[in-house]
Amino acid sequence: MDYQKLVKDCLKGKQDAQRQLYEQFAEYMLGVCYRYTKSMPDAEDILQEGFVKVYTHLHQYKSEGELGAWIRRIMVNTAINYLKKQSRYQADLSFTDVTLHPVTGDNPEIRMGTKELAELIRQLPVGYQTIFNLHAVEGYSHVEIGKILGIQEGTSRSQYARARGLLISWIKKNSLEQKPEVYARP
Amino acid sequence: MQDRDFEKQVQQKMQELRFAPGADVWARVRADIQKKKRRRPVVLWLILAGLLVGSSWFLYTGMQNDNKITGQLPSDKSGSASNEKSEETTTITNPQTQKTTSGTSGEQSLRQPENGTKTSIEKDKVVKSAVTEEAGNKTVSEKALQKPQSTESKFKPLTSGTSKKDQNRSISDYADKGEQKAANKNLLSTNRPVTVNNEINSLPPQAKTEAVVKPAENIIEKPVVQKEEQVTPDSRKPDVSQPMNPDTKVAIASDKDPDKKTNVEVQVKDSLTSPASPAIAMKNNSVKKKAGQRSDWQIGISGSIGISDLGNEIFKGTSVADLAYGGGAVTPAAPPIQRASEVQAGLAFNLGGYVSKSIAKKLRLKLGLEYDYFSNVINTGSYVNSTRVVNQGAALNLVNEFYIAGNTNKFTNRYHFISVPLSLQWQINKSTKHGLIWENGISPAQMIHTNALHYDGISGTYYEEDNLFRKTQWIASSSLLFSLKLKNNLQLYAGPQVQYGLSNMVDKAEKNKHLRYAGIKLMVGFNN
Repeated sequence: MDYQKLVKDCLKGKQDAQRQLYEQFAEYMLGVCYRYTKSMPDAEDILQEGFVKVYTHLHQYKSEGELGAWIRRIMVNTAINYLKKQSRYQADLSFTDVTLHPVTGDNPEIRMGTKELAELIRQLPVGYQTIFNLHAVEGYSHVEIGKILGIQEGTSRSQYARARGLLISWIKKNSLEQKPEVYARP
Repeated sequence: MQDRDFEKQVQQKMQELRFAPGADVWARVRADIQKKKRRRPVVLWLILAGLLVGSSWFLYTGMQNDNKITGQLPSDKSGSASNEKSEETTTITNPQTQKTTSGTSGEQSLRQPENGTKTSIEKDKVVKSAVTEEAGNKTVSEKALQKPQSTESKFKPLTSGTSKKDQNRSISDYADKGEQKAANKNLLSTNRPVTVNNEINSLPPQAKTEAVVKPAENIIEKPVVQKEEQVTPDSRKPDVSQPMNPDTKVAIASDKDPDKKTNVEVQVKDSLTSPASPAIAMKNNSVKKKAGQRSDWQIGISGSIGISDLGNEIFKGTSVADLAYGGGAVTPAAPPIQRASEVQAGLAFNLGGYVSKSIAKKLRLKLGLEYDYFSNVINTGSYVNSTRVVNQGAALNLVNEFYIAGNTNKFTNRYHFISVPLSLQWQINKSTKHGLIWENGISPAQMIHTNALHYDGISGTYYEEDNLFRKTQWIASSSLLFSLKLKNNLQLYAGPQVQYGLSNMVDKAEKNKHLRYAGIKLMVGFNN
């Protein structure tokens, strides 16, 4: 797909192009938004807000970069802002615990499906979930996460270690629970 | 390495995560975009509409005021019917006045006393008193009337104290003394311009002022006879309701030395040879305008081109706003990696329309609507399309794209404004054709878009952030304009202009980020 032409057409205000851009990225971006929230309606709200930002700031997009990555960054930023604004997420984002937790060296093989893993990530407390997504999936450093969320770098590390440990334990448990089923249906 | 395996697996899995959004999501996105798109033009249209309504109102009220003064024209017209009646009466009572009253204007009927008990003799008095002794010349009609001594004695003080020189002053004598405008208005109101001018000429200064200020009162409200009884010799004015036909005027001219014909006499002859009507009055008015009278209203287009930069001192520039240190208000967490780039001047221009009104002899008030473009140039490093956290004083912000500090790239900061300049024009010299005008004003300007970069000295990052700018600016302006009258109603202005933003461009930055502009201004105005 010629994204440059698509962007130009979007900038001209062509509705077909805008719809095409949305259809091209909406499913993937909803997956991104879903990972940061606790419900699909919240994820859809973030998606909506994010796409409005995409269209209104599309003139700032430089063709040197990948369009998908640019949109994804906007979605992540929108999701973080959404969590900060929504009262039901605010309490969990306070990050009062600054105790350091060393990252476990456990690296289990993830045999579950994508959506199951996403559901497990969403089961994490909001703070853990956010930091896990930012570090493990988006690739931000703890310094950057600290600046984004307004917390200490150490807090980010600690929260991540807890999130990772919890998730690995759940994955292991889930794998054990699922094993009989896997063998039961060859 | 093994530690990262888990993260890699998660990343790979999450790359595949997809959900189909609900059908209504796109509809909501679409609605939001439309709402945002609509909001911007609505604001612009509101400004435009406000300006249009405002200027229309000013124009309308300006014209209404003019009509109040020229409002006698329709009355004159309607009065012409009753005028016939008055002519008839006069003819019956005193056939000798027929010559004098022929071709009379509607004013006479307006001055006709409403009191039905007025006798024909009184009317004779009116006719007689209306005949002025211009420069000592007696009109034919006056001679023919054989006016009684008592009437003459009443009449004499009218011209006493008015020199011959004063009476012979032409309209052009008033051109530069602000009297012409008032005189012309009276010309319109009486339908007989020159006669009124003569009236004004022949008055003592005090009465002259009264004649200018209260034209309607003089013409309509007070019957001449009553007025004659009431006025004191000092304030009495010659009654101008008595018309003079061309023959009469020719007689005046020939009665004296023909070589001493004044401009007034020539114009009297011109005006009297044509029928007294509103159309003619308008024509006379336009003739007066052609003679060099300044028009009250002017609409036009204006433009300016030049250079702009940032700073608050003459001949001294500034650097890009380094927001990491919050304009000195915040203690730096670390010394800057590199100093912010100096701001170099860039192209700037503005284009718009205006409406102006003369508020005094040499002053005009001008209101406009302009699009302003300012730019400046800075040095940056290469462009990076990635996320970075930047320092803004004590706060942090995430940016999706940025330029690293360096000197490899020239970046043009562009600022787009819509402004409503209000200014006062003062004409320094006296010439009506080649004017020298000093224009000073102030304009509220709303920033509609900018791509300008801020700087984070800690991380060495240039980044874009609209919200850090003061979107509403007050811009002071001064220009020295040379004006040239091209045609009757077309005026060209050109000259240097400087502008200065009164408020800092960037919030939380050092206080030396003021918008500065210098250029050449050009205006084309159309007088109404």
